[in-house]
Formats: sequence, C-alpha cells, structure tokens
Amino acid sequence: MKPSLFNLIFPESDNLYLVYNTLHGSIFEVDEQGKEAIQGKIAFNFLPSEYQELLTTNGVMIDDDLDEMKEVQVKYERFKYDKRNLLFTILNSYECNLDCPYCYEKKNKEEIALDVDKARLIIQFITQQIIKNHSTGLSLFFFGGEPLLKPHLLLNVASILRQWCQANLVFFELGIVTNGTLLSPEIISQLKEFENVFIQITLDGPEEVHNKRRIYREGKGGTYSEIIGALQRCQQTNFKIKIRINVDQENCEQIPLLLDELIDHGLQGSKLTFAALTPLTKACALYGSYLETRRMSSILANLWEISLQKGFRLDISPKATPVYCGGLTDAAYIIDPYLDLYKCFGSVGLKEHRIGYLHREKGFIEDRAYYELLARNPFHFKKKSCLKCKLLPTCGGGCALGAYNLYGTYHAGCCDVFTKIIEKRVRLFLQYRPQIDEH
Amino acid sequence: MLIRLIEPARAYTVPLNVCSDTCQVHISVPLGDKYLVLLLRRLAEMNGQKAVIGFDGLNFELTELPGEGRLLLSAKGDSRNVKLCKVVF
Repeated sequence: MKPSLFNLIFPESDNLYLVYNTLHGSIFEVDEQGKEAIQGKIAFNFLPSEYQELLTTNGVMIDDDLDEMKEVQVKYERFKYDKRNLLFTILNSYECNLDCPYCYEKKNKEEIALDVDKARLIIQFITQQIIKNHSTGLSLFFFGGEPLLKPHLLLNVASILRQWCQANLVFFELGIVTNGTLLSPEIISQLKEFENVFIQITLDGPEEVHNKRRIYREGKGGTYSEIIGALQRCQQTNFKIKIRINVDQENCEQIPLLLDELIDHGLQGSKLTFAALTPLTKACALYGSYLETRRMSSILANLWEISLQKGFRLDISPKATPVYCGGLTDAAYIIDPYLDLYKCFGSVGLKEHRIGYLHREKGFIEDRAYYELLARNPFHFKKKSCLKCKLLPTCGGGCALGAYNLYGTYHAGCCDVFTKIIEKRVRLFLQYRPQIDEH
Repeated sequence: MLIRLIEPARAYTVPLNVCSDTCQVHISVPLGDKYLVLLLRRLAEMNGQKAVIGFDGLNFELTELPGEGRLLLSAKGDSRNVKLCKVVF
C-alpha cells in the first residue's frame, strides 16, 4: 500500500495532526506516529488491522498499482456528464429595477423580456431534455435582470413544468435569484403553492452601506428595508433561503455590522454565502473595487468564522465536487429572452460566451463555446500545475470564465480564493458542522 | 499510535428511555475527543434541529460528567412517539 497523492496534513496542538483527503473527502485526526503511517514511513502491514481498514476504505492509503490521477479523471468526466438532475435557469428579463455600481449586465438592460411564445419553446426544450436523458430531477431557476419584474410568466412556466414533472415522476425544485425588492406577500403566497422553493437574495452590507450600492434605478433610494422585510416574510415559509453577501474593497470591513443587524431583525441562523466580487469578464472592468485574491482569502476566512460564531449557517463544506461549478457540466443551462444559451451567470449577454441558441424547429443549436467549455479538462491544460496540486479533486481546475478573462482561453487553470483557505475551511467544518451545508 | 476517523460522519442509533415528557440519550464520548465534544456542544446549542434526526419539538441539553469521563446528551420534550434517536456526527 502507498499514501494517497491527495492527503493534506495540518498540524494541531499537542503533536496531533488533521489529515484531509481531497479525493474522498475523509478527515482523520492522527498523532505523530499516525502521521508517519499515513506518509508511508511505517510499514502498512505493521498497523493494527482496524487502522488498515479505516485508511484504505477512506482513500488515505491506496493499492500500490492504483493510478489516482486516472481515478480523478474518471470522477471528473462522470460528474460532468451526469444528467440525472438537470438545472435550467431562465433569464426571463434583462431588465432590472436596481442600478448597482458593479452590475455586469448593464449593457444588456434592454426592455426585452420573455414572451408566451418563447416560454412555450423553452418548456418544450426542457421536457425533451428530461426525457432524452432519463433525468429524475429538474431544478428550474429564474434569474435576471430582476426575474420578479415579470412574475406572471415566471409562475406560469414554473407551474406548467411542475405539473409535467409530477405526471412524469420527476422531482421538481423552483429557485429564484432575486434582489428581494419585489417579494411581496402576494408573490410569496403564490410561491407557497410549490413544494420545494429556493430563494437567493443579495445584501451588500449594513443598512447605510447597502443603501449606497443596491439602489433603485428610478432614484427612490436604497433597498435595505424592503429586502429585510422580504427576508422576514420568507422566514415564515418553508422556502430554502440563502442570503448572498457581496464582498469587495468598499464594504468588507462593515460586513460584521450587517451580521449584527440581521440578528436584530430576527434573521439569526439564516444561511449565508459570501461572494467575492471578482472581475470575470470584460463587462466587469467598469467596476474598480475588487479585492486582491490573497487579501480576499483572509477576509473571507474571517467572515466565515464570525458568521458561524454568531449562529449563521454557511455552505462551505470542504466536500467539493470534482468539477468547479455546475455550469461546467452538461446538466446546466441558462436561457435568456433572446433564446440564447449560456453556461454561467457571469457571462450572460456576452456573445463570445454564448453556447448556442434555441431554434424554433431544430431545437438547441450549439456554438463553438459549447464544445470549448465541455471539452475543458485540467488534464489537457498546457500548464501542468493543476496536475501537481493536491486540491485538484475538489476544484477541477477552477473557474473557466476566470481563466478566459486571464488567458483568453477556457483551457487553463484558475485558482479561486477558496483554494487559499482550505485548511481554515476544514477546521471550521469540524468545529461548526451542524451549521455547514454542502454547496 | 492514534488514527481516528472524523469524517465521513458517523451515525449512532440509540434507544431512548421513553416517558411522557423527557428522554435521555446516553452517549459515551471521551472528553479528550475534542471534535466530538465541540460538535455535541453545537448540537445542543442548536436544539438538535439540524444534527439530530427524528426529533421535532425536543430540546437538547448537554452535560459534561467529568467524574464519569463522558458527556450526557438529554432531550426534553414529548417523546412518547419516539423510540429511537439517530444522532449523526
């Protein structure tokens, strides 16, 4: 037997160590001798049989003839083409009622929205995909612009697809990524008709900071109180709610204040996700307050810890998926009101990243970017640094859009902030596990 | 030599002492087992909503019994319909 290539060892106090295997997601606590065993410095056969079994079944020690890089590659490809659960995001309008300074969709804010005719085509396309792939689950998401500017079509499309899924024994989940200003009691009441509802709402800091950034387009000022009201209303439902908190140079120091305000508003225990504002495309170049990666890493780690201490929940489980994000799998698509398809929220409206379009008769017609993105594989990158990285099984080479922005190609590695703080992530996971979910 | 698996999570199914308004789950956890102790503390703080499956409306409390070298996890509430408690940690 030999040690796995993917064991990370973090020192603890009292001659103890944490061992995290990134390929299997297993975590051990070991002493000095245990560490030597895991490093292959003690003959495996001399270990007590229960230790031998623990280490082999959890991927820390492996057969001498096993090539783990091939295992990583197979898991990567298997995950990429796993279509049991499909995720379709409908961008029903590029129009938005807010005017946030960092919005990368500003150029797309035309008054175009999905109409009934196009919605029918999308419904047909989605059901055909479920049938063709024998999928057993559909996550239907709405995104914008602001998706709730056109709530009737959204609810109609969701309702038709939910009924179709019920009739065909397919699990159905409805998700809405919204700014929260239009989540009225009436809309919430209509959403309650659906069994599985996920809603993501964004805040940018405590009231004073948020109200300078997430402002109404028509000059009606900040949106903080409307959003808090919406979050409080959602709390009375069984919706899964996630509060996204954007973090950049301008607001990073004020975020702990926001956490206190959320507690004051009765929102303690909410699920949070901290999003480092990052320039992913040329459209992001208009905004200049991004944090440098190393500083962002330490800020994020600090915010995670403070949030957990204050009783919030986070989605920072170190058990990451082999592919960097759902957008890089063949199971996730975004469709905009032009019937153009994209893979990433960050690239919508940018033709160079369009992966194809829906043709009225011929269905999905793929563009160059579709094949470029799906063919992406860290094992084929020109630079081989990803293949030497112990985190490869948890990140799959990182963000494709980030790589494109940096190097002009999807086929390059792009480390994100999470890779810099994996140790912190593991430690927080162990300390606050009941508050930490998987992505 | 110490080699202790922390993750994947282990599930313990333990019988409850069923009575009208209280039940106790006895889990022998060595006090030196830092992560388990931390986790059980969090679990008790959160009233078991997340980590303890099979209980609605029960509140959890955690008591250290240093003399016995273990932790006692107590569930208080109406446990008449609950026969088993699955604790995942």
